[in-house]
Amino acid sequence: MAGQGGSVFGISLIELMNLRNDLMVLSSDMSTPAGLDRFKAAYPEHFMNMGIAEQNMIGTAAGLAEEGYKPICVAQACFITMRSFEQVRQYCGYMQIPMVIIGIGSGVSLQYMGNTHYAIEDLALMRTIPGMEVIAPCDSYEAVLAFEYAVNSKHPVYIRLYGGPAIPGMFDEEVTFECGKAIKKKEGADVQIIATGSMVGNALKVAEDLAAEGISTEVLDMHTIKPLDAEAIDINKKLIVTLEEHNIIGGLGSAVADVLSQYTNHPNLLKLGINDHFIPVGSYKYLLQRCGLDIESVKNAIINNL
Amino acid sequence: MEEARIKQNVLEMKLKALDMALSTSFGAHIGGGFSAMELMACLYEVASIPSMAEEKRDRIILSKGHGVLALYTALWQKGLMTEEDLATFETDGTRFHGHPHRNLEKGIEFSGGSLGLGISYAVGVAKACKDKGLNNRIYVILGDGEMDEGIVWEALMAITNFGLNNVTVIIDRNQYQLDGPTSDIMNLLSIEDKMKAFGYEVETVNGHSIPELLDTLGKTFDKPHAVVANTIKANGISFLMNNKISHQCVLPRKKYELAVEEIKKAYNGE
Repeated sequence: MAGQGGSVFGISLIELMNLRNDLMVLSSDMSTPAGLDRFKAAYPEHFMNMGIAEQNMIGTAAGLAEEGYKPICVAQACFITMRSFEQVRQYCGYMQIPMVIIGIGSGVSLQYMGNTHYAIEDLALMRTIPGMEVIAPCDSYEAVLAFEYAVNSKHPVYIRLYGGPAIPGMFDEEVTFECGKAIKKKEGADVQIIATGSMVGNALKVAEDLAAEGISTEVLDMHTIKPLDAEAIDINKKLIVTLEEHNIIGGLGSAVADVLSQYTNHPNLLKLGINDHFIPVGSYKYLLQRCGLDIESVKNAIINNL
Repeated sequence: MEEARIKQNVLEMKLKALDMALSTSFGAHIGGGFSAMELMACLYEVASIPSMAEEKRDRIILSKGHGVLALYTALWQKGLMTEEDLATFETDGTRFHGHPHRNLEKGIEFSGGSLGLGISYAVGVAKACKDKGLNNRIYVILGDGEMDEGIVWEALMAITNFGLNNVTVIIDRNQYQLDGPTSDIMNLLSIEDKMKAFGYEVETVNGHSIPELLDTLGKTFDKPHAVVANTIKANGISFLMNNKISHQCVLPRKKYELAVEEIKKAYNGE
């Protein structure tokens, strides 16, 4: 398995090169971890390594785009969204330049690198930029579909990738990807779990465990955080749960809360994510447990809130 | 003799760093740690740090935060970090992961990891220390790849602008960054020329030469001091030198044994 980055940059991007010749990939000293080595070797004239300089990368991409290139920028999710936030706001928001911005190693994927390298604010930041589309694919296949969409989109798109090469596949290949249209992964009557990115897989496992407790759980893959699929949110359930590897402030949970606040009557919302704090450093498994995002903790939180 | 003692310290630091690298399955930043071993060892010799509680202590700010193998082992040599601390390197819940987290008790001045931030922080530290009349030195260690970040140049400009001649900027010029040689990724050309143009007193040293480092690091000038330390990434480990994989990698036991052998041989051979 190639993981999300490898699938996007090692396979899909190379296929796209057969269809169009206007692509320019920019990376801030992150091409090898992103999975770009194969692409760089095959198409050196379509690649710019900008060094460790995310702000200049976004600025350069904007200039390239206005002169006819389709730029694709990649760096760690934390640095591409946080250090170059103003550049993204200026070019993708204010100027509506349709570049593709890809953040790798999102959430707490980078483990022992520590909090400087975690991205638990990127969805919040990107979501506040007018006109920005924000996508967090749940597996490698969905990442490729999101990438193909983004390259052909007339809008600026941020794609949030996570994890290393061993990401389990969850996406049914016959499902088509539509930006802003959630995918129902499992039907259920009592609880609706709305999950995004890395947490969709956990949500499905939680739903199985809850079934054993007699709780029927629907699982929604909310791959697009913006524009949010408001219609997919089911206010007739007993409980709505949002699940994200992100701060509970500003991400998927907040986006769903924005929708629910428009209804007079709606079920309680349980926002599960990183509880607005920086966390002790550790392995991915350890971090999910510390954040209450492992399967057991999520299951118990839902039972306690029903 | 001073040099022989420090050389022995560096040997112990390198062997301990290899133990730490072996202990983690996540991978360690071996390259940028081993390029800075002599540098960090000499810096802690030259700097005046009677105690971390002493306000007048010199400040050592590791802006290239991934250099923890050199920082943690230098602090261990100095008696600020313990064997037990190092044994928690890259374990669940550790305070000592792949980038340093400010911990004055342990001698860590700055939370590094996001490149370019340390030098900017140092501007404030140096200004405050100067205003307080502490008469101490602020040492900042930058990576050459780190100099790609725009904020580095904003900070370098501010240091001379505010007359902060209590600052020594040390550049670990190991010629490599994650994706490959700095000359291929983002060519810095002459760092010396750039620093001179920014108003620094610039010196170039062999960053693996203990006498050269000892001679240079303690100097003070009317201008802020810049030391370009020419180094080799993953210095002393043949299979990682001139190999971009050294930036961050897992060290399997067989490779660990080979590295230990090479480091010991180089020490005895000289």
